[in-house]
Amino acid sequence: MRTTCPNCGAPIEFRYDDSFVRVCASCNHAVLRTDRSVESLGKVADLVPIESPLQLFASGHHGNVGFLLVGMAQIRHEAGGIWQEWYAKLDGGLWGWLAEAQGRYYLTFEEPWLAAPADVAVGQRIDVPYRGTTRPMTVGEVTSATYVGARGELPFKLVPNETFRYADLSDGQGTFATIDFGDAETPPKLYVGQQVNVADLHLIGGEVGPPAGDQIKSQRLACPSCNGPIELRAPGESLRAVCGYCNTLLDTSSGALAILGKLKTKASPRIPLGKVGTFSEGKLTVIGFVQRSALVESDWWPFDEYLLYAPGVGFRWLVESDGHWSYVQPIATGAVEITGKGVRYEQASLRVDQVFGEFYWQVKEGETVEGADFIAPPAMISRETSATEENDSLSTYMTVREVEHAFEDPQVLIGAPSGIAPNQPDAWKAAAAVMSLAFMALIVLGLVFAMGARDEQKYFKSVSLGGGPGPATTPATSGTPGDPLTGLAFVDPDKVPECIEFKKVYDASLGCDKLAEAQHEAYKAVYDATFISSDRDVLTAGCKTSTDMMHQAIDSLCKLPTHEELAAGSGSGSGTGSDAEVSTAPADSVFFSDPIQIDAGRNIQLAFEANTLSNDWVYIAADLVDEATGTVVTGEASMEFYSGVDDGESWSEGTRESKTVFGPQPEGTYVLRLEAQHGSAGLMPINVTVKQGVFRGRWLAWAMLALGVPLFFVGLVSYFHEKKRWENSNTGKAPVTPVALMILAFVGVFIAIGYILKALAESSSGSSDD
Amino acid sequence: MAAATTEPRPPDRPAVPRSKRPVIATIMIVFSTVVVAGYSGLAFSQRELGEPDREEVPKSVRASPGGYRSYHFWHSGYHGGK
Repeated sequence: MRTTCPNCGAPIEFRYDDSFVRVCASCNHAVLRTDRSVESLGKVADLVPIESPLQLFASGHHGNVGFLLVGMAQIRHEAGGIWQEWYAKLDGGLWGWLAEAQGRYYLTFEEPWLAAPADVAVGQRIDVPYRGTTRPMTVGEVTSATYVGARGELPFKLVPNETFRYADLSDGQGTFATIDFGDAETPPKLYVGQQVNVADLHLIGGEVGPPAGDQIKSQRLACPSCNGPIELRAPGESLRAVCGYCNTLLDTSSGALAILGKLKTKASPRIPLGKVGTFSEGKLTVIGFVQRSALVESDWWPFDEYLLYAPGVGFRWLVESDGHWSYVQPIATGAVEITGKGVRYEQASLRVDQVFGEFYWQVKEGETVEGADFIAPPAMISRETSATEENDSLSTYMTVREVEHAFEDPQVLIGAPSGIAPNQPDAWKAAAAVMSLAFMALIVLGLVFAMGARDEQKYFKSVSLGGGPGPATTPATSGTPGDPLTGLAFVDPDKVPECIEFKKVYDASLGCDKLAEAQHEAYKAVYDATFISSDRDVLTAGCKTSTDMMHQAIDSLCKLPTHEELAAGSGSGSGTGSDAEVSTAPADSVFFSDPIQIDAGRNIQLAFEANTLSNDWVYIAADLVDEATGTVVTGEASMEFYSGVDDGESWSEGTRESKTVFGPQPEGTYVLRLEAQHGSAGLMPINVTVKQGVFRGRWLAWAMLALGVPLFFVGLVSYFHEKKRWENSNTGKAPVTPVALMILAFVGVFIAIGYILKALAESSSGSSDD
Repeated sequence: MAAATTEPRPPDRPAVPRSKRPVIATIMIVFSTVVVAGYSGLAFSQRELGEPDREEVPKSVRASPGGYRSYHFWHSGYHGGK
C-alpha cells in the first residue's frame, strides 16, 4: 500500500499487508495504518549509532527459510542500556523478532498463550508453550523498557517513548522467550525462539552501512570535563566510561558524552586498558576495570575484574583475586541448576569500589548485588542477584602462566598467587583418585586370587625328629640353665653329637689344602648342594672359611680346641682330618617323605606345626628333591614358643607354626627331606603338610604397602590443599572425599604393615609365611 | 584452562571446563599400573620373588639319611634363643 506521511506528506509504502507501522524516512514519524487511513503515532528519536552486522533490508536464512529484515527499533532498558530489535519477514509470511543485545542475538516468534500469567518473578520456573508443546523455562529478568527509535516497517503498533513491562526467560539449552506484558488493555504476548549465532543467519545485502572492513572498531571522543581523549572500544554497547585523566564518570548511552560526576578513587588496573589477549574464545580487548569487594564476616575483601570485549564474542571477564585468575563467560538463565552437595563456596554482598574504562551497564561506585559462588574446580558458577535480575556466569581457573601467555606483553604484570583459589584445581586430588582406584583394584584382585586359590593338600605326615643336644649328663660350668643354645655348654663336648660332628668337620678343614682326589669328590657333592663352586681351589677356600666361621660361632659352646691347639695335637680333636667325614647329620634328625606328586604351574607350600613345642625352638631345613632329575629346592622354617608366669601374670610368645613356599616346579614325583634341630633332648613331634596353589597374602600386602604409602602422602597433601581452599568459605567446608581417601590409605597401610610384620616374624630368616 | 570445544553448543551455554591431567597424576597412573600389574603377574604365575635356584644333588648323597646337609643348615641354621 502506498500513501503519504500524515506529518510531512512524504510518500511512504507499506509493503506487507500485515504490518502496522511504517517510519517515515523524511520526518521520523511512526505512521500507523488503520482500516480507513493512516495516522501519526509521534516522532521517534534519531537512532543511536550502534555497531551491528545487521542492516535494514538485509536478507538471510534461518535454516531453510529465507527472510528479509524490513524494520527495526531501538529500545532503552530501564537501567539505561539500548538494544536493537529487528523485524524479519520470513518466506511464507511469518514475522520474526531478531533481538540484538550485548553481542548476542535471539530470533523469536510469537506464540499464542491464552493462559499467560499477568506477572512473574525473577528465578520463577514456568512451563512455556513452544511449537505445540511446553518447555520449562526460568525467568531471568523482569523489568521495563521504552521504544526510543525505529526505522522501516513494523509488525506491531510502536508508540514512540511508550514504556512496557517484559520478562526474559531461558531454558539454558538455547531456547529464549520474552513475555511482553504490554499495557492493561492488551493481554501479554509471548515470543519464543532460540539464541542464534549471527553467522548462521547468512546475512547479505542491506540498505545502508559501511563495508565490513571499514566498520568502526572504536570511537575517539573528548572528555567534556577535561577535554582529555577518550577512546570507546565498544561504541554503541557502552553506557558508561571513565576519563583516565580527570577520573570523571561519563554517560555514553546517547552517543555524546555526558558528565555524571567525579569518582572518589582512581583505579589502577594491573592490566592496561586496550590490551588484547587471546583466550579460549579468541582475541578479546580489555575495555574496563572494576574493583569490587565481597562482604565476608563484616570485612570487605577486594578483588579485581577486567571487562573484555570483542565484536561477535561479546563481553567477557577476567577476574583476579589474591593473584589467582579466572576467565568468566556468561551463562543463559536456566542453564544452571545447583544440585550437588559441598559445592556452595560463598555467599556475600558484592560492592563496586573502583571503576575505570567503559562498561555496558550503568556502573556506579558503591552499587551492590548479592553474589553466590558454587565450585567444581576448575569451574565456578557465580550467581549475582538484584531485585530485577539474576545473572549466572562460569569462571574457569587460569594459571598465572596462562594469563601471561594470553597477553604476551611485558607491560602486563602478573604477580604470584597466594593461598588456594576457590576454583583452583587440585593436582594431588587427581593423583589420589588414580591411586585410590588402583588400590581398590588391588583389593579386588587380591580377593579374586584368594577365592580362586585351590589350596590343595598333597601330603600330610606327623613325624618325630631328633636334632636336640641329647641328654644332659654333665653339670653346667657356664651359661644359663635351660637356655636352649648355651645349653650345649652343660655337657661334655665330646659326648654331644653336635660337638662331635663339628669337631670332625673342623678337623677336616685343617686338611682342606691337602684333599685327595677322592675327598674332593665328596666335597664336591657336598658343596654342590650348598651352592659353592665345585672348583677345587674355591672348594678348599670355601671349606676353610665356612668351617672357621662355624668354629668361631660355637667354639665357646663346645669348647673345641683352638686352631693352634689342634695344630699342635693338644686339642681334644682326633687328628688333622685327612680322612675326615663331612656327612654328619644324626640319623634321627633327618626325615624322608614318601613320594609326592607335584603338579606344574602352582606354588608349593610346606607347613610345619609343632604342637608340643614349649619353651623351646625348632629349626627345620627342608629340601624338595625331584626324584627324576635329582634337582633340589631348599627352604627352611623355624618355630619357637615360650611361656611363663611373671608377677602372677601368664605370658607367651612365639609360634608353633611355620610355613615356607616355593614357586612352581616341574611336574613330577618329589621327596621331601627334612632335617631338624631343636633345643631340647629327645624327639620333636612335627606335623608336616604340603599344599599346592596356596594364596600368597604376602605379595598382596607388599603391593598394598607400595601403593598405600604414596597414596597416604598424596591424600595428605590433597587434604591440606582442600582444607586451605575452604578456609575462606563462609558457607561450606572441605568435602569428605579427600579425608575418606586418607582414611582408606591409613587402613590399607596399617593392614599391610601388620601383615608384613606378622609374615616376617613367622619366618625370621627365610622365605616363609604366606 | 579448558580447551575450546569443537562441538556446537547453544550460545551462553559454555562447555564445563575440565582440568588437564596433572603430571603427578600421570606419574601415579604409571606407578599404580606397574604395582597392580606386577602383583597380578606374580599372583597369577604363583612364582616367588627371590626363590632359590634348583640344584642337583647326586642320588647317592641325597638318599642316605645324614648324607648331606643343606646350605641352610650350615649357614643360617640358628636357632631359637630365649
